[in-house]
Amino acid sequence: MSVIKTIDLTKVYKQGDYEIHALDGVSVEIENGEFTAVVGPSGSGKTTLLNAIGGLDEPTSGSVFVNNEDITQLKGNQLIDFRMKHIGFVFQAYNLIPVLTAKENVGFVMLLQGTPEAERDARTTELLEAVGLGDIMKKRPNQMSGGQQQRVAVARALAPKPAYILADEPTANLDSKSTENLLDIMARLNKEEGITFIFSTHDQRVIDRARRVITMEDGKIISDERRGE
Amino acid sequence: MIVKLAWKNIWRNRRRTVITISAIAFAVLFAVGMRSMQQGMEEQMLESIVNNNLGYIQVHNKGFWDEQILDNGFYASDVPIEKIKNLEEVIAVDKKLETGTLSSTGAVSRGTFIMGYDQSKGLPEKITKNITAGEFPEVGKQEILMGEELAEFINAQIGDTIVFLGQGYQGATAAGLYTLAGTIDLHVPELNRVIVYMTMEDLQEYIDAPELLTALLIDVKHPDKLDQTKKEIQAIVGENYEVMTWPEMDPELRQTLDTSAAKGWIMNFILYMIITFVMFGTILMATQERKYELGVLLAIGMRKGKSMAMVVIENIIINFMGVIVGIAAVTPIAYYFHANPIVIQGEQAEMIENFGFEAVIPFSTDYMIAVNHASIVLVLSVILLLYPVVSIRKLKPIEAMKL
Repeated sequence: MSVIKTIDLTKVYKQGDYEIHALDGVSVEIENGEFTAVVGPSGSGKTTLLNAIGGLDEPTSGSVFVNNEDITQLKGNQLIDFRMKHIGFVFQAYNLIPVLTAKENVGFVMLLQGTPEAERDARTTELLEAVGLGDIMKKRPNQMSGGQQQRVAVARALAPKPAYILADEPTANLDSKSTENLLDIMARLNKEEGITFIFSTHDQRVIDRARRVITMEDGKIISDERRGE
Repeated sequence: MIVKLAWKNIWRNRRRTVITISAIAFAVLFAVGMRSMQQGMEEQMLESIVNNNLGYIQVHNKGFWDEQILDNGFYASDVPIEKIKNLEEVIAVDKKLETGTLSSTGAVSRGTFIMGYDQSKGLPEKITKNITAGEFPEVGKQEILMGEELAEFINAQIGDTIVFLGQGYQGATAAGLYTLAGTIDLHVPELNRVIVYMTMEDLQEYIDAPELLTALLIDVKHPDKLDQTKKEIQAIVGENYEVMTWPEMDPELRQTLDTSAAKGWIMNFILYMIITFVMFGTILMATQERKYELGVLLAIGMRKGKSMAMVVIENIIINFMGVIVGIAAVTPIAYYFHANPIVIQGEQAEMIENFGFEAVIPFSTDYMIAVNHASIVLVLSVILLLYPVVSIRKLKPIEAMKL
């Protein structure tokens, strides 16, 4: 069953007299439990696609269905609440809240959701241990390495038990060891907990681990390759 | 959660927070200090005139104010003084009798203003402390206290006999001999040149009108409720008496105080313009440099309302701390200069004294000054918060995170 479905998605940016088609009629379905990499050169539209799927950016036309709900029809707080409940984001620059500890960052979205403290505490501990950071729960982002910050970001994205996780160039700022470490964690969570991961990436190490690779160019999907385990 | 996050955000850039708090604190210190000094001067002016001579409210026989002669006086027993004293707002009712006469030691004479005082109460300490020679007059010995310059002018020494000659009540001739018990320097040259204090009984005997008064001086609890108190007194004394408040009796003083207050507010307006830009600069910087982060918060599910509340709380806490620090800094200064007023020297002092005021600047310790200025700073900060609120309202996470 598809968790995400886009229909004829377009996104047009105007630059002076020119129109740039960042997405040009993209229709794609992502199924539950997929580990998908969206690849392509810079400007191909992969980040725009992720932003549209994540409800961060409004498409010019077309629809994005998530669990059969057209999120392009959601406005304001509806869309914010939707993101909070259903989507986990992992950003290239980690984007942790600098004044909060690792544990507080992971628990932040659950706090917004009104999750009781005991439940929040148990879940954040479990997630930080799952990403191998059980020993640095009280550290703030500026006391952590890039790899550690990105693992906290993954734990944060997973905390509210989202339908899927969107990761925009998650390994771009990481060294090889941290990249492998992070990919191991995400692959394990995908396999053991069935969490859907969608990456936009240039990183061959991520592409090698993906079970589905969607290649984009000039705002269009030019290939969609599914691989075995 | 929002408050906790706001508190943590405040201290993420300690230096900027400290600079902002200091700027606001300085503005509050300066504004409250300035106003305290100005209000202190105004209070002192008011006190010099109202407390010493005029009273907050006076009761006279109808027509006395326009023609201030003894014949327009009234008898104390005709006015229900006790009823006035029992009014909620009234602190004290003092009897007043004053008249003009001629004083002389023989070869030299001068127009003199005699003020009668209640011998059972004596004179207020603020007057008696200014006795420069001799002693306070003894009751029953026909002794008087005289302004230093007047005594000097008529060549009167302590213990000398002074001749008073003038007009008494209803055309009678007033004449009497009195002993100079002491001289006084009221720090008001105009008064020092003419004033004589004697007991009310001696003065009534001199003008040949026992029990006669020219006015009742009424001290009140709340000078800002004068009009209401006046109405209540008028209702007691009836239409045959005139009840006047100090601004009615001395409109020039009212005008001087209003002008002084207006000047103060103009100064404060300029100061607040400056502090508004300082506060706005901080808010602008803080908002711009955090747009990315606010975009992330929106992306991961924090509603705009909560983001706005967080930024608003942060700024209100910072501004509130600035105000508290400012008030904490200015309070001991105000109290110090209230107890030890700045003494004006030289020509300026002379000029002030010629206007009838003491040449000192005591600071006011009226807590409402701090409350008013703190409120202004907080209101300004709330208005400035419209900027981050509008910025967050317009914020689109994807655009914010592209910065």
